[in-house]
Amino acid sequence: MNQAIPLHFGSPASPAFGWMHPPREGARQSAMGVVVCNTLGNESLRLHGSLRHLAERLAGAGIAALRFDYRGTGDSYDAREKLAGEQVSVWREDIRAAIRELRARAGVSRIGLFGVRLGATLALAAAAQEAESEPGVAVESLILWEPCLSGKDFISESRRQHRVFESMFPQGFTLNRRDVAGQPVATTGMEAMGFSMNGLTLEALGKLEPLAFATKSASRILLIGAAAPGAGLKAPRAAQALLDRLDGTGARAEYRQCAGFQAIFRHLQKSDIAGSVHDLVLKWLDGSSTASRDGVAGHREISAPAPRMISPGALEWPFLETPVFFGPDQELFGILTTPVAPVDRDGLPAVIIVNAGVGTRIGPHRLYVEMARRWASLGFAVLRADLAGSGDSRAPEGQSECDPYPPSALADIARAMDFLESRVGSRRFIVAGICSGADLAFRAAAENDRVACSLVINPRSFHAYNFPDLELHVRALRSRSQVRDREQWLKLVRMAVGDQGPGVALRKCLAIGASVLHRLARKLGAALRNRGSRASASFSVRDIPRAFHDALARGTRILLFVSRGDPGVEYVDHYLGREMRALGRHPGFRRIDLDGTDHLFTLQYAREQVIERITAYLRESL
Amino acid sequence: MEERIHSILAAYAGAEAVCLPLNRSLQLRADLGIESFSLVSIVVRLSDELGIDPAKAELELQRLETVADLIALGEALSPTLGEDSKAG
Repeated sequence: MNQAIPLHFGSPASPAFGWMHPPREGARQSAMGVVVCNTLGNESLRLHGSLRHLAERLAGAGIAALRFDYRGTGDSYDAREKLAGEQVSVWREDIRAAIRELRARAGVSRIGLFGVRLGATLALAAAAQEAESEPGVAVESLILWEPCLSGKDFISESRRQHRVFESMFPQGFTLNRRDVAGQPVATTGMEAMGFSMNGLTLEALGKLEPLAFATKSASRILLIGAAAPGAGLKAPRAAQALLDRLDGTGARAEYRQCAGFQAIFRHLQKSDIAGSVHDLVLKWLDGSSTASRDGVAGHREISAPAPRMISPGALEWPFLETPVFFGPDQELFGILTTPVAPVDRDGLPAVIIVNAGVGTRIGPHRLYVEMARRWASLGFAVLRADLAGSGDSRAPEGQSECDPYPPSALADIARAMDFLESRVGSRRFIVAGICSGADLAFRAAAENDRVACSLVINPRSFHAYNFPDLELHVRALRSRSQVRDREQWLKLVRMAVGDQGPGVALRKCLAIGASVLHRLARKLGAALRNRGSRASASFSVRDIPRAFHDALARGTRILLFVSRGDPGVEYVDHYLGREMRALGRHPGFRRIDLDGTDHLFTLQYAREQVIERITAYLRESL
Repeated sequence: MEERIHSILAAYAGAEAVCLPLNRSLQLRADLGIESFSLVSIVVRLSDELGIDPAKAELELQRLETVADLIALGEALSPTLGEDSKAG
């Protein structure tokens, strides 16, 4: 059974969502509780696992912990009209609300804050606010992991990351909101790697300057970073100014070097949870005042709160969101979104949305959250599910975490169906997903009679063949098209010539051309060598059209939604184009190709288009 | 340049999992587990250290597959190396 307790807290009209981790039974309970403050933006998605493990380690050591999503992010909520306002004060207030919730539910008398990246900066600001408003009950310990040294730093780095990403995949960033003249609509805000900040928020972030804080924010402060201290300094040069400032406020501040942050962003199952940082945190907290180990006065039972109805204003649709556990051992977790008004469920399938890659149930750039809330307005019950080992679902013994294709995946989907049947009465289901989630939605349609409809969005591989082979083939296809692309050659030539003399320029052009041809030959050769091995797989690419036809023949409806040129479908279109085109003649099959967007719909307008078009499909089809 | 890139890559790939210096033919994704977002962070970090605007190297950014590609990106955009080749 999952020890942690999901809950909504804060304002009843716009609650934040979080997880309370009570001290483990049998552990000596500390008088201290820790609020875990994630960063914002794209990094926050990948840090989910590390912060969950940290909270579990704290609970295991007898320290109650609360981790949460800031309002307007993750599973939390805020009204659309409020999201148009300045968000930095909202995020700071969320931290303070989390402190109050932790005190009230866990009965702790001492508070620690752990923050990472912008979460560390916000935690520092919130702690300073707490100290000013309630001097007697200030934050005792503050841990800042790889803090953003200012709000401006966060904005600048986010902007640069987005520009680099856009340069890497230019074809995926042209679907923008446009005016009647077809020109991109200007905005005072900023989008960075799928995270949007309006103009007011940017302005407030620009003023977030920890180096200007005069108030002592906590008694003890720990800065953790991967960089070594500078020569003659206690911390790397960049962090030394912050360390000096914190010392100047009367806090006991120190820096410790500990690697681990970058490794979190490794690919899929190679991703790390930064256990070394967790070790350091526990050791540092344990080294605090011995009074913190005296325990609370009696164990306070922390019970799961009732589901919270979220009732936005008149411009939006109300819905009910309930955190749920399901599966035989209640080890799987999801968020169930349902309409507020009772709905006649006869004939109306419930929806299961399957997590994508190593993402959680919120989906790429929170797309699943928006989908679920929109579809609840149409009367659907929607379960956003974490497969075993992903998000907040436990991995069975012996199974690794962060596996986008856990061995139990299709069984987990079947368990989600069982849960929904018992909970809301639906007997037929829509299974939806992006990337690996789409692969599983496709396979569920092929293998499970209860699937009425499958929403297959940018499938990675249809779960039919090995990833490395797919990458080779896609790169080979693209290199081949680039060799034929006159504009690419002209660009290469212009780059090579620059301000060089003709002789140097010619040598450079020949070198570049030889490199391109060598690269193409290498890829095609490897792809040809590997092709035979794929054909022997149990479910190969050649089985994909048949699987589609089998599902359609049973009456299952299928929507294949693709960012044009997306690798998984491009691969199948290339080798089985005739068969894939033939699917279009089946009345139950529909394909939508969306131009100008990338695999995970990084631009906000692209995500809005995805929701609009799929919602229209659901209205027409079901 | 190459040493700097190796040390940055080691942080993202997990220093315990790689032997330095890195083999130039190693695939960033398949061998080092460095996926798109990590690669973006690496390029931004490299650009900070070199004082360059990475978005100017659009073609190189689209071809980042191996350690050699990343080294080539850094060398192509490093202002110091650019001045050296002009003098030569």
